[in-house]
Amino acid sequence: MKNLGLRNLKVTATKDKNMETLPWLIKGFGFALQPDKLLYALVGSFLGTAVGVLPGLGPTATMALLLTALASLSPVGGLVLLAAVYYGAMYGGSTTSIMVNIPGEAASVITCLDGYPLARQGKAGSALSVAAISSVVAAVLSLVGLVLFAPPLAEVALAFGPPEYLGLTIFSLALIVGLSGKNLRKGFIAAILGLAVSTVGLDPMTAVPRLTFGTTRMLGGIDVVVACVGLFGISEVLLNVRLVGGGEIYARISRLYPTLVELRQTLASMVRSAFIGFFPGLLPGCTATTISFMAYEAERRISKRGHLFGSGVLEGVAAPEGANNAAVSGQFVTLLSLGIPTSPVMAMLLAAMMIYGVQPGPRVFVDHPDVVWTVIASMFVGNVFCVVLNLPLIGLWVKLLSLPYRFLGPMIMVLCLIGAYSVENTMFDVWIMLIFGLLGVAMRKLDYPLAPMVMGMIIGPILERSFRQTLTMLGSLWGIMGRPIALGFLAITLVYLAVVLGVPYLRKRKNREQ
Amino acid sequence: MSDNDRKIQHLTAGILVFLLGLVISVSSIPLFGRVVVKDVGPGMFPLIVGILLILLGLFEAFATIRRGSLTASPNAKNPIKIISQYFLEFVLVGILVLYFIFINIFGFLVSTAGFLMITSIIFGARKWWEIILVSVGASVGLFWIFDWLLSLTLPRGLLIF
Repeated sequence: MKNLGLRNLKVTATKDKNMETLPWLIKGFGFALQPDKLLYALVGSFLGTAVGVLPGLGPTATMALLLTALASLSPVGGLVLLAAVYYGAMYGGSTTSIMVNIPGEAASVITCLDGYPLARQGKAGSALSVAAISSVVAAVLSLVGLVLFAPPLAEVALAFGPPEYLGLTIFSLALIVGLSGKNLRKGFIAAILGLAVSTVGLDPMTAVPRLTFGTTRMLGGIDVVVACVGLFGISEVLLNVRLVGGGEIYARISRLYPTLVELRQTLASMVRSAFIGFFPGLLPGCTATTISFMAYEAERRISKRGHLFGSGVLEGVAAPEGANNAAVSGQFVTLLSLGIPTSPVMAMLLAAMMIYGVQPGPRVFVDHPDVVWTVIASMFVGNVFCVVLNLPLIGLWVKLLSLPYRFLGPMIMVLCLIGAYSVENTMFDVWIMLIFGLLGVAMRKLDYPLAPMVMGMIIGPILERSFRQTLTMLGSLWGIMGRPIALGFLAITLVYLAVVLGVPYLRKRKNREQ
Repeated sequence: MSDNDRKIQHLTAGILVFLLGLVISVSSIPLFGRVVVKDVGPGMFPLIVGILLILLGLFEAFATIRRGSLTASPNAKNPIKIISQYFLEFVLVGILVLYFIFINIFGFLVSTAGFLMITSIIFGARKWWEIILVSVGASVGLFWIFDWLLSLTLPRGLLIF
């Protein structure tokens, strides 16, 4: 009965919303374009970009720090600023991924795969520009989606229970294995290693310590950012110490901005990433990080230059960067329509809304249309601010690469230390980072891909939770047979694996016969 | 690196993955006696992961062996050769370890300046004034940005900074 009540309430809210969407959006723009709101959006975008660029200081921590400081602002002002911090961080996060192979925040991990090789080829400017342009294109398209489709899509998200998440995460795991290209076996090992890392710490359902080997320090688990800084940043410098010998590892930078041909090449990726980012963003648990991986893999499959992914292809930058920005809009839909925070950052925004007395959920568009529509309108404006801020800064970032690697290399290691230390203000994380750095060196030397391991760490908790909840709910995994969406995901997974494993096998057999 | 060396490395990796899986599986079994919610205890997921790693480790090791016979690598006989082959990497890791230890004693500013000086020399810097200027400037700059500007409390050690 409770569900029925919620459904009726939602239908009413949906009707109200559909009738008033356009007038309220226009009113929202009217509020968002007022000087004080513009200032909040500008400050938030700038702060967010800085937070994204600096490794270690993620948007969640920044928003947590800002929550109390912003309590004195008006609800609209505070929320406009906090939302701008989030999507600003999505813009800024790509910078260090591209420049020095250190992800500024978790959602930019995948950008390292093609962004950094591009920087080494002297195309850092093009990569940074494409990241910024893709971000704004995907963000604006997904915001249109937010405005048009929020209520019906929220209904779809409501249909997702633990079995559906289990199906989705198993599908994601299969995508990761496919991500490893030729080394499927190694990719699978790396993904399972990532899952193993995700089980360290207190069990989320029973609070029983697991794989902590008696140390209390490990109870909190291993932070993904700490592991990534080690895997990508430290291992990169350790591997470069032999190569450089005082020379340079970056090619001479030919130009700062992409050519028209390059833009035309990446335009389709940008648009696709908006869709790939927006729809999964609606689902609780599908973080911007997970989504950026999905977008990258999808683009690798679709793009004509898919076989070149990982060696420095602009589409490999455009897809994840567009998707992680589009995911923000999707996450906003679920937060506003259902009151469910789909990521830690959204939980911070939910906390902020509660502080301001705005209760997100089916009635938020009816009870607080002024606040909601101003925030949505300000996101259009703020995204434009982000690209305006980022494009001129590209020259400055690229100049940093002209710093000789004999100084840049050691500084990257210090930045890695700061990034790992700042997660929990403890040196323990720094030691963990070093261990992952050494693991990263070993994996790269032996051709084990790093991305599946990171993805395993990220989806591990979601996979475990949905697996256990499904077993508790249905009694056995056979119960999934009665869940069409979950079954659909499992069927797609099987087809995908059959294609990924079968095609190379058939090709090899054909070559042998010839 | 010879093909034989690579095979030995892959075989070692397979064995290590197998051993890791074994450790995870063995550590997960006692958890089955702990808190259990409807037969789904905290040990179930790690056990599945551990078993998968055991299988994959074995598969990797066998796949490497199947690719051809292995002969003992000359490097495997002589650990000194391995150390000399990766000398710079070992030195850099050693310096990082010392840096992480000293940062708690001397604080961020002093330790970072020292670390940057030594590592920039390893990376090929030779002009002493350039080394001092960049090392001291960078450590002060980073401390200013992260500690003073962004209020991320960096390790102070026994000194003020």
